[in-house]
Amino acid sequence: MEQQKKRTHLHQWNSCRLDRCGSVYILTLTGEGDHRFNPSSLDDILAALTVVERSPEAGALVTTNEGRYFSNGLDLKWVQNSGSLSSLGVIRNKFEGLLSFMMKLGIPTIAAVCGHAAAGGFMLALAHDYRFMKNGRAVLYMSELDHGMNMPRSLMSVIRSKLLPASLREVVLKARKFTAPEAFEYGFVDGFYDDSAKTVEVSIGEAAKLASSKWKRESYANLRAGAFPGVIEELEAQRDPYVWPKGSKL
Amino acid sequence: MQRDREETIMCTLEKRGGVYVLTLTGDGEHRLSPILIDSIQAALRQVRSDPSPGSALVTTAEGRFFSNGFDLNWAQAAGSSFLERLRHMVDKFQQIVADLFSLPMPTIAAVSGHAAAAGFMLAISHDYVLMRKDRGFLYMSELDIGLPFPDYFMGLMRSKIGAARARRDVVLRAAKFTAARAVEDGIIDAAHDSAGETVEAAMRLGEELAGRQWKGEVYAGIRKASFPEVCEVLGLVETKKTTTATASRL
Repeated sequence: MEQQKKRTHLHQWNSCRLDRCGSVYILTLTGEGDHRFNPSSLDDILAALTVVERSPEAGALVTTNEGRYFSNGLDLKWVQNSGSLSSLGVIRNKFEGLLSFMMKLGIPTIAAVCGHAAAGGFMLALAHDYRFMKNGRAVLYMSELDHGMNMPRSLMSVIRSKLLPASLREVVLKARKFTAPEAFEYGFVDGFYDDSAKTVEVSIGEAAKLASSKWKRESYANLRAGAFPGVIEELEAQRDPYVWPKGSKL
Repeated sequence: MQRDREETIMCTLEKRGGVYVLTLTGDGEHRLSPILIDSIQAALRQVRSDPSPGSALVTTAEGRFFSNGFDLNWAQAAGSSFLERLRHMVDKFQQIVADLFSLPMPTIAAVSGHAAAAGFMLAISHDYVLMRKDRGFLYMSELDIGLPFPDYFMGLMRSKIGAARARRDVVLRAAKFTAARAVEDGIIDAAHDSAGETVEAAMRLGEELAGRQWKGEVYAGIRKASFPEVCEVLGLVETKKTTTATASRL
């Protein structure tokens, strides 16, 4: 199947843009900043994903970034400036909604990680089915432990679904910074390439290959949910984030 | 930790720099009898009660054995009450595993010899497992002896032994793993030339982790969040509620 190399721009939001390359839809986190998640950026990303979900021609999704950061996670400055105690809960809930949307999307998803991905940014990458990464100074880093922040059970379910036990320990209990080759060795990155352009090119190529199987969306979403059981349920359950009462299904 | 009776000391606790060292003493098999379990529990209680941040625990043993499991001789001495005595040790040991899973600091097992059955479980209840490669096996003997696994043993193995084939060999084949093979199969982290070197490496790792100055409660919280199934089986209930989660998805 001939790959269409021509990219069509579809829409631009403040925080992201959507393009398509044949049946591959490309979501880019735009700008030179660290693409932090706050209510407006999360709304933009969700809007873009909704376009993808509603486009029957969309056969696969590639998510990537401009600049030196994939994403540094939740916008804690926004939380501080908001002056409200519930702000962290607000963006966490929205972020859970984003991850849940990703886990329910009925097409293959690939993260083309072309910059640092820390905390929520790393989680967003993990919520994709595949990860390709640019080899260089960029690292994958679950920073919560270093910042003295507890890990909510909903977000932990995403992490645990994609990491082997030994990797899990290194990632969350050691807050280790993984370069692309290290992440590849530990099995949570599927390939790494010399520069952003190559990383994105490979990602689009893989996405096109996956899209060409023309899998039924309902089947794909179902199988993903079965392969990673309990994740969507945890993300949507609105439970107290740090409590695991007896009898909980996790 | 001394027993105030005429029995031999069963384990000692010391602190070297930022690292607590719990040593099962003497040349015997360090069978997990009710008395030894009590001694270990007392030592862990003492570790937990020390408020200094930036600590780690190394657990090791003297002699040719790390631990050969429950004291089955003691159980058998009771004749018809064998199962009752065995159950008593199973229940008591569950407390140790729970204590290790909730310990507010990184934990390292320096496996200095054979670790079988509950002794193997004691090792993998730690965050990191280092072992000597010149002698000694990891071995789940239950199948060979004709005993079933307690629920929490299975939970531990499912959580800490990620590779399905390795887990099958451990439980369904009663395979004896040298340190080298255990590293290869992802059961332990590293193999060292001798017991002395294993302990030294464990101390170095302990100092490194203690040096990260992580908040103990956050570390324990993330550890529990990483292994919720085991913690559920262990009856570890997290009752600390943090900021109230907002229910709306704006």
